[in-house]
Amino acid sequence: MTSTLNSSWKTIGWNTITLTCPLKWEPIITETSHILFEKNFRPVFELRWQEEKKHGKRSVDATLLKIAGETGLLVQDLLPPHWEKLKKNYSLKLLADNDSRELKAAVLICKECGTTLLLYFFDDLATRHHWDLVRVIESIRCHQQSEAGQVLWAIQDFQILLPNSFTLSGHNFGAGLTRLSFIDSGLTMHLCRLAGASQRLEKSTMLTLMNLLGELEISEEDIQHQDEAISHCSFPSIFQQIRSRVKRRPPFHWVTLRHHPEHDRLSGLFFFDKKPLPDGLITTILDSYEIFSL
Amino acid sequence: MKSSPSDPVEPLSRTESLACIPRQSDTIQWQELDNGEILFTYAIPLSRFFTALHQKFSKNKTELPTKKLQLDQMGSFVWNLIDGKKTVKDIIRIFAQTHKVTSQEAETAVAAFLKSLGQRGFIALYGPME
Repeated sequence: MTSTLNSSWKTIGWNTITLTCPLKWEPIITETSHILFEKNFRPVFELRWQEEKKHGKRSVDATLLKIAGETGLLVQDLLPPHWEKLKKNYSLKLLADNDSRELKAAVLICKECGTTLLLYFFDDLATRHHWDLVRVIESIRCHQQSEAGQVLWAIQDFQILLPNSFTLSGHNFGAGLTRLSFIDSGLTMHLCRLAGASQRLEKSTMLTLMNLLGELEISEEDIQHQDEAISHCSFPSIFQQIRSRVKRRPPFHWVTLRHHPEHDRLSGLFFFDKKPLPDGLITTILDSYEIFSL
Repeated sequence: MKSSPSDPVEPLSRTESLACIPRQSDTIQWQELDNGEILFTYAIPLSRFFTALHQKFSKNKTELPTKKLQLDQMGSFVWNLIDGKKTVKDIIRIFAQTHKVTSQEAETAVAAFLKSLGQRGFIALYGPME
């Protein structure tokens, strides 16, 4: 797997979209299909997207003009030279401010997967730093890249590869606690990433935290210790399965919480299902879950 | 931000809030404990009836009932950063660097903390030019 961090650029992966951006840009997720990038607490770049939608008999060009019209900005007929190379992969329209004629936004439709991307540029990103901007846009991948059918999720200081059948069902970016939830038919997976691990572990144990995050009641003697991680896999008897079903809880679970002392983080994965969990899938996902230094 | 009741204040934008400078209240009593944590002692605001009742049954007639509040390590760290010079943005940046969290996380944590301090009257926010 390639590292998401290099000297001055980093890779972001969120809900089928991956892109690289300058290290100083901080991505802020507000919705499932929206990322706002900030630099020094000021917005620099905004990305919204929508997967392929049937536009009826409307041509791609007409669709672009319709979306452009909704923004209230002026459509630029001439494409600056550094934007030309994007035409290879996208049908696009650039939009400028009505008064200043400064480039403010772009609408792109991917020629391969039909995903519509709406980009907004703040400050002078589109004029003074246009090479950075074009590099960011060129790096956008809106459709499946991996032959193994895996999708990269990389945000904040962690990354994980998940099967493309996993759908994001919830996300929460709290102070020191990031929580993403996914569903795949009957399987539910919760990903947790906790900052300030040392302070948390001063007040409670890994097991207490794992029980709290997974709403579980696992006792000390049932957990497995491995290096800096604890894990638990349930093998319920038929009666226990019935009891869990009556309580409307999935009887099978596989949970783990890992301490990363070098990054002062805790990372957790919690799988729940009504049927026995596939070992291979869990191992693959767990192996791909990485934490980086900020 | 000071205002009269008849002059409602426009809510601050995020940029304006980040540029504000928090200042510790002069009236609040606080001390730094041996472990570096901050302990506040503040008077409980009571209605005239309960104040009279308290004075009637209290040994010290002039002393008002007080409450104590102890901040944890992170809270104490932020409290010590409030020096009347640093802006909210400066505090967030220092917090993020020290605790190795993202700016977004630091902003969520610091903003919520400053809000709760403000609601208790421990700090006041001033604009950069005030």
